[in-house]
Amino acid sequence: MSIGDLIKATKHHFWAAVFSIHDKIFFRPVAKFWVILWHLLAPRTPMLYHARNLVLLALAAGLLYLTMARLTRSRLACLLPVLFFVVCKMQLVTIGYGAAIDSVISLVEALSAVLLLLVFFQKGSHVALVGSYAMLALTVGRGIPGSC
Amino acid sequence: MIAVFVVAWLLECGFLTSRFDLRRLLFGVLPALGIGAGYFVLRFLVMKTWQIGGGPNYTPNFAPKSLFEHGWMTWGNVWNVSVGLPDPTLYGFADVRLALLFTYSILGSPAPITVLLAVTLALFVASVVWMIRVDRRVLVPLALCACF
Repeated sequence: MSIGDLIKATKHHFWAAVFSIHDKIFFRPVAKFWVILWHLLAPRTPMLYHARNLVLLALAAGLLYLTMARLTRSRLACLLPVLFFVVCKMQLVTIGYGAAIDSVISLVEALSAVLLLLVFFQKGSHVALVGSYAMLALTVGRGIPGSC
Repeated sequence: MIAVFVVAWLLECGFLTSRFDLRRLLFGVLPALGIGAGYFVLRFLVMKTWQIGGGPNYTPNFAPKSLFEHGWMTWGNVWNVSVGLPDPTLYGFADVRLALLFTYSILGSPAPITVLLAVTLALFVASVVWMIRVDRRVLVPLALCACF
């Protein structure tokens, strides 16, 4: 089945495709949701896929900094993990591998879940607590984020 | 990710300290466990099986045969690294003393530089010990790192 036929089919059976089994052994509805949605909505421009991954990785780096800022007052201790994250060669693979939307989005969701949980611990915000569990629910059963 | 939440809540609730709050721990951990259980129930309804994995993929399979195969492969890797033939022609290290420590090939493929790997591992272990001694809350991002 070509990608065009796949997109045509998924337009009519979007949710069935989202909740379908992948490779006979994987059940990852959230991953499928993002992959199919992106294919349906985004123009077929390869550069756009790479730029998307770059933006998501930058967002992940920002979330990592904010998470560390919740755990330590040391600016250096906040910047060092971000530095290691940014210089890790895996990021280049993730940017270059245009189909890697699942791993970077699940990374962003995982970091958001931890950050919101820490916000709840420190500020007692129940909105943050609900948000952290929502993010946790989105990450459950996902693939391994190579970008981490 | 659920394990990350459990670690975070254990620290928040003063686990192994005199101020340990079991009720608050249950308040935090039960929703996370519920999300995990909910995912597996949904997965069972769709896939009609509780089995995880099923062959050469990234999903863990805890069947005895799979555990044995992975253990056997791990031992094989250790064996290859320990007795593999050095390739002094790699990376321009020909005729250099102790080149074995810096260049290596396993079955014809360049392998990681042993000394740098050892230094990295030592730095990582020392950093983890130092961070935990400074503030045990660092276990939250460490657990996040481990879950990937």
